[in-house]
Amino acid sequence: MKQGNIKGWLGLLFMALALFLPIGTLRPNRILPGTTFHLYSLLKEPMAWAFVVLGLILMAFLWSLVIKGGKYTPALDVFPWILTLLPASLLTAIAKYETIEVVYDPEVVRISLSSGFWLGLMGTILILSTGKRKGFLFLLTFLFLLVPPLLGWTPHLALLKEFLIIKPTFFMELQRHLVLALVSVLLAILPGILLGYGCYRFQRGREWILATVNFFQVAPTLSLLALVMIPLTLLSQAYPVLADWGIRGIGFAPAFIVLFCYCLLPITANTYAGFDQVEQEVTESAVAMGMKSNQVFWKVLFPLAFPVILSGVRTAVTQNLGNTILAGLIGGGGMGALIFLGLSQSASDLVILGTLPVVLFALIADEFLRRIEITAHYKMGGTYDSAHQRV
Amino acid sequence: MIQLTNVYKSYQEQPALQGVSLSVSEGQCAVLIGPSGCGKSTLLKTINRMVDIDEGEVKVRGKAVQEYEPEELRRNTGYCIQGVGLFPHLSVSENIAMVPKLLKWPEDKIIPRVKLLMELSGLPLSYLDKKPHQLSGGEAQRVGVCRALAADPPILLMDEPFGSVDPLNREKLQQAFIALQKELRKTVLFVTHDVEEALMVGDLIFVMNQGKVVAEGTPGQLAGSMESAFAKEFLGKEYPMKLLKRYTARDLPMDSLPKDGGDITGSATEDMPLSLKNPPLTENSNLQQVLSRMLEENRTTLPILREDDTVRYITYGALVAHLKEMSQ
Repeated sequence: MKQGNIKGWLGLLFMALALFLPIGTLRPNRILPGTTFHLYSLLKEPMAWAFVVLGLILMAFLWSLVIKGGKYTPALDVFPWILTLLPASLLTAIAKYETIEVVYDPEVVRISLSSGFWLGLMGTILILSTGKRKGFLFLLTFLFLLVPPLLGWTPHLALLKEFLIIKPTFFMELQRHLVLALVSVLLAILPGILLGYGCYRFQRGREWILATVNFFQVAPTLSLLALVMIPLTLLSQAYPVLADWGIRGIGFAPAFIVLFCYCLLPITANTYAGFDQVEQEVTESAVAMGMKSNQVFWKVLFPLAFPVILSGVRTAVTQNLGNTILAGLIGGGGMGALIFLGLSQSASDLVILGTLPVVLFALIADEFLRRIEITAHYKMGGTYDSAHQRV
Repeated sequence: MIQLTNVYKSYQEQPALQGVSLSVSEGQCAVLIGPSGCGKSTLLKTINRMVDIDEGEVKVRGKAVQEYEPEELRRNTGYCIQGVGLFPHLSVSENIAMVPKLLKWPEDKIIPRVKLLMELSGLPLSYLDKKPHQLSGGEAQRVGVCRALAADPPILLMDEPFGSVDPLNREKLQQAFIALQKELRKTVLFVTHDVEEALMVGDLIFVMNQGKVVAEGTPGQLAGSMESAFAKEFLGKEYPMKLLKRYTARDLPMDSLPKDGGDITGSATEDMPLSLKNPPLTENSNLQQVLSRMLEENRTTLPILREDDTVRYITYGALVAHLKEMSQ
């Protein structure tokens, strides 16, 4: 079975599950567990089963379009655009669950999204991923999702309520998160490339360098944080000046150092691999043509290694966006602060609210850098696919 | 032009060159031939200082190579290797223009030069902007040769330049190279392990084994007396057969060829009229083809159609005499 088919099937399966699993949870207030409801309970009783049957027929129709032969049919040219609207309309429907205003106090009542909704969203994305222009369609799907809350169609949505409560800190933490994640990668690029070049040039140093950066990578992030906290605490106690600059055992500094170390491996290893995959005949003929060693580096080695180095940076950026969540644990801020707050209050909506932007930014960064990488691969005389088969 | 005297080189106790002396004069194409690991590639690299020697002397244009700046020496020495080593991120024209650019030629001098070389080596100009991965193996080799010749270096070093191409294309490349060499008259040092290739392209052949030159001479001379048992074995018992391919019917002295075959006595089938079985061979046919035709048609005299439409006859005797003369 082709990969596209598996994705399509899985997407349809998720969508089918969304029909039968609870799609939302109605909670009288922030703390009480609440009661779940299904997609068909959004409709009047007699229509519920008709709705389910209709849904199944729609599935069959989708199947014939998406899956059959794994071929991309012209009908699909229009179809994905409709599909991108699906999660947003689902969201609107859930938030409009009627009974609430009758029974509960509208000020505190809230509707959380349950497994059915998330599965439906995942199913949509999986089906979209079988077609063309998927990156753009993903983005569109998420943008559409923002529309109902912004237009005030979903006043009781728990995510929205959580957001409104923490609105001032939300953007501040998001900004800190992005700064922490991206600046630590940016600063790791040059040392990472230098270390990678060191691996390439000096065989004896290679094992040491790779072992060190590997250690940073395999050591659990949390223990690494603890490891950095101790010397930093001692340092700031010995030199109070440092503490004034913000270098202390907790907070921004240790998080930054750990994230920086984490970024080194993908960049170093990819730089080394990038230089190493340059064929020896190419460097030899460059030398034999009378290039000086700096010319060999800038005219031949570096341009040819560049796409692979970029791929390392991409890995570092995406993993760093996720890892930065842990900074919240040691007072470094970022979306982790919201997530751990949510965890401590058993407020799952706050956890989700903190996670969603991280996932979104990681996906966007990955897609953006991948495009640059493909262009770079093409410019350097290879194709993206062939380069990845080699590695 | 190139002169090596008693050159020694070893890699960590592993001797690569053990007292090599040879000299190549201007405009000659010298072939270094020998089995893998005999030091022929190492020898080549001592000339552009890709390898520095331990002992002895390597002179290029009368000056020891150590006296040149390595970069300066290399920019004035064309170099072309088996894997071609084209820069995959640069277009064909940028690849060829690399050395002229390093030498800071003006742009308006580089472009015509690149075009001229591509024409000489039989590459269409539409290839100028192609990337190396869009070329076939043979085309890439041609670009490699163009690149080596780009800055018009007096010396050209070639390390099995056509080694990775299929036999049919290899022969085409050899022909193209021979034509190019006829035009440009570079001093060439050509490494190969293929005896036929050596015979095709070489004016002078050096047979190497275990870091030493064991036999040297023109291709013809090597067919004659050879002291080295190794060289004899390496070149093979069919060497004279292969050697025939080097010469064409045109090379035979005209006065040795009779104007008609009637005077010649031979076997019974020889009174057959001018080649009934096959179209007659021309002056451009090589002597191997001539001999094959003799064997095929079972005759010792063979008509050759000349460019002015007259016919001459090649005899087996004339063929043997020519080989003998060449081996002196």
